[in-house]
Amino acid sequence: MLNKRPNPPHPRKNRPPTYGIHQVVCAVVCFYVLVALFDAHGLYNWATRLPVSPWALTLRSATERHWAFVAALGLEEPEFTLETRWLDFEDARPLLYPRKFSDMIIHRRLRAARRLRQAAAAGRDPQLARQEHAAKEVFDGTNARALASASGPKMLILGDSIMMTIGPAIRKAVAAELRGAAIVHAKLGTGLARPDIYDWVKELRRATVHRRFDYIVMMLGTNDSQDFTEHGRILAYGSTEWVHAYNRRLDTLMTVACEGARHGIWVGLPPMRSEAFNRQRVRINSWAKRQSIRHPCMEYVATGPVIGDEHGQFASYLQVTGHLEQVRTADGVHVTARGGGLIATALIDRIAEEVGVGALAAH
Amino acid sequence: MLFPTVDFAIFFLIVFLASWACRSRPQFNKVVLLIASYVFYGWWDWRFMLLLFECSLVNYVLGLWLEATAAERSRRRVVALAVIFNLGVLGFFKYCGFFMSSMQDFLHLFGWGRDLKIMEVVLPVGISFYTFQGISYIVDIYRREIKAVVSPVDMLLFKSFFPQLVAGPIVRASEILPQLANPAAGSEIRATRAFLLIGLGLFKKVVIANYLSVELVNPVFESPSTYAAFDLLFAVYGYAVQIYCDFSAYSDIAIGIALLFGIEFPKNFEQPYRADSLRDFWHRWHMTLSRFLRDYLYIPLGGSRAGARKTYRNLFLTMVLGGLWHGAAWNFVTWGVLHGVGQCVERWGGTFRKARAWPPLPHLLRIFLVFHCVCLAWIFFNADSFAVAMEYLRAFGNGTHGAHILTTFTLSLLTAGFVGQFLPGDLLDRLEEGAARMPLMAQASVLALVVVTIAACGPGTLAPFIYFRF
Repeated sequence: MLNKRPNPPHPRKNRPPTYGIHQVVCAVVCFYVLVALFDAHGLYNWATRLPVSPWALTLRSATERHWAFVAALGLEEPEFTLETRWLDFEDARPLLYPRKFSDMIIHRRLRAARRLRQAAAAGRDPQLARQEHAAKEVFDGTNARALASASGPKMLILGDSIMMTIGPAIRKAVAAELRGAAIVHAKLGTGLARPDIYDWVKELRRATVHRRFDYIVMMLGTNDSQDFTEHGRILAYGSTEWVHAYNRRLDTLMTVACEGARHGIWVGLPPMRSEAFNRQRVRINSWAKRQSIRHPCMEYVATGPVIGDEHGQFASYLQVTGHLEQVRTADGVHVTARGGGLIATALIDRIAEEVGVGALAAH
Repeated sequence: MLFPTVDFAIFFLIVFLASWACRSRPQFNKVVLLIASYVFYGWWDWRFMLLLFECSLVNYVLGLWLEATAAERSRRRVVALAVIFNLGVLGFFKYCGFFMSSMQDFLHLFGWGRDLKIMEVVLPVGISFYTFQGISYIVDIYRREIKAVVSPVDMLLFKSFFPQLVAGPIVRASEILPQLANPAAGSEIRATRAFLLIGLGLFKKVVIANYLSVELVNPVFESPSTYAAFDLLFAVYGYAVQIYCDFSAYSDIAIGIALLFGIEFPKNFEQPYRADSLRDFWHRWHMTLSRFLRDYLYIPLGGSRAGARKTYRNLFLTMVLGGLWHGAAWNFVTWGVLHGVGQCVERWGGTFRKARAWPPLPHLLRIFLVFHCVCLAWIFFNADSFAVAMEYLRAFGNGTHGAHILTTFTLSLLTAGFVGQFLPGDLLDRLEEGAARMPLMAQASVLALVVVTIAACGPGTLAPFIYFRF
């Protein structure tokens, strides 16, 4: 490693081409204009993800008009075609799948292509079609195979980025302890506040329309401390109207969960390092808990006692079987794999205690 | 603010146009870039800006003090103070929890269990990079390779210049300060090179690294024991390609953006998986870190001039500390140990072979062996903990039982990643010369089409760059 190299590997013969700043500025501006023209829906998509505010709504409507204009000129066609072809390629058959699954995968690919064509014909946002495609992926392929072959409880796990660590730990524990199977569907930066970005109620309906689960485990709310719109009006975060609307959304989601599963489990958000964020977490947890009580099939499970310190407050490190282990990531929000494992164990213990491991195994 | 996002694109356009508007006043231009760099850094957390400012200021003052000090002993004291300060900042923010938990485990081992209070410390983004930059600045002044910066704006900008701030390349003061001081820097911009690097970087990050991470690497590393041996093997290959594409993409984009401001950064990667020895690998992988470790750790320890034993010791220590620099966890230490031991064995093997006049192994076989040694170490690097890495290794015993994950799609991405390693080393230079035959506007149009294609192919959400957490 640590000795100087004798010579640069490829000495250049010619002087590298250079340009003056005015030329470069013109080229950069040209680049931006072309990208804005050919990727108008990307721009619109970005605008829809901005935190809700009057300024953001204006920007959204402006980008929407721009997109409509570009679409009328037919300029979004190249990107849409590329995207469709890419999805086909991405959907290619797994190389090592046993033969009986290959048909299923081919059907899935055809369905995905058909859906995209339909989206194109209806003039819908291809990005939306893409999201639908991604959601569909969750419930097909390997996951469907795992569910079909499981003898224990079948579980659906939904959530935001925190669930990305906890979900796989629960899935592993369900398979190992209860001989069941779980599908994890976690989506970064989502929640109940912004169904315009990702609609969890719709996703849950879609997931449960043809399949009934034994358990639906949900954890949402990390990204929900923000303004949102309802019926075209901006509701300020924390206002009475906001709280009522948010509770309605919680209620709807839990109702759908109870229709799609025998039991629903709402996992409370873990304690957060930032005091302000922690206060928001406490409020969201209290609403979720209250809504859980109103739904007989739902149960609320708090994570503070599992992953917090002796007072249930934020702790990066916890004593686990005599060792001090890191349970939270450096950002003070997410959990480490070890922390996810602790929550998963607590959850599985709870399920096993309630139903009985024997009953579950015979399920 | 991540490079491949609309937020950054808008930020860059504003800064670029503002910088262009101030081209006739270089000092004012620097202030614009400085403000932009602090906004870029504060985007994560405004408190980080204070730390960056404080680090820059302390290094600035110590640099001036060192310059003004003539006595060798006093100069050494100033250097020691600067190194303690920079490593202290790094240690406090990055290693506090790791050392406390290791200490607690150690006490438990001897039955002296104590509940040590662990402080909750936020890890500022890019701290490892700018503290190392601070050390190199002071040591270079001490070695009289550079003069201390007099202008505080230059110093603040050197430490905070946004393209390289959060994940390198680790640039030295001698590389960047003369460029900042040169008012003509903006009149000769290597825009073709910049466009090529930005396009290439976006493709590597958005398409290859992101998809490999989501579709192959993450599922297997999350739960290795449920996968078959082939999947485990391909997931490690996948991670090797992913981390290269992720990190080199950041470097490429950073170098490209800096070029548009008329500033050249050093190269950070050179097809590392075509290396035929571990030593060669470190000449090609994260080159600016390698040279930092060489110049500020390996050589001060004695390098290879103090006898065979001390050379082995120095190599080993340098690699272990390099591992620890990446993260405060035993799996990173193990990663460093594997590279350290590997290099010692390689050195010893070379001496042994030469003494017996044995022929070297065939070139391709050496590349194959080195790549697999690097992959073994990557398992520890990517695993959440040492225990997970061991679980991963044990899972190779699963044989063909378990889930299967490799698809034509992921295999294509892997192939693309590997093919890139064996293309001619001067391909970028040739492409630059070829593309320069087109007018610059045409080059920008091609880049726009490449970006639109990448946007069409990229996944819906974008993961942060791997090296942001270091």
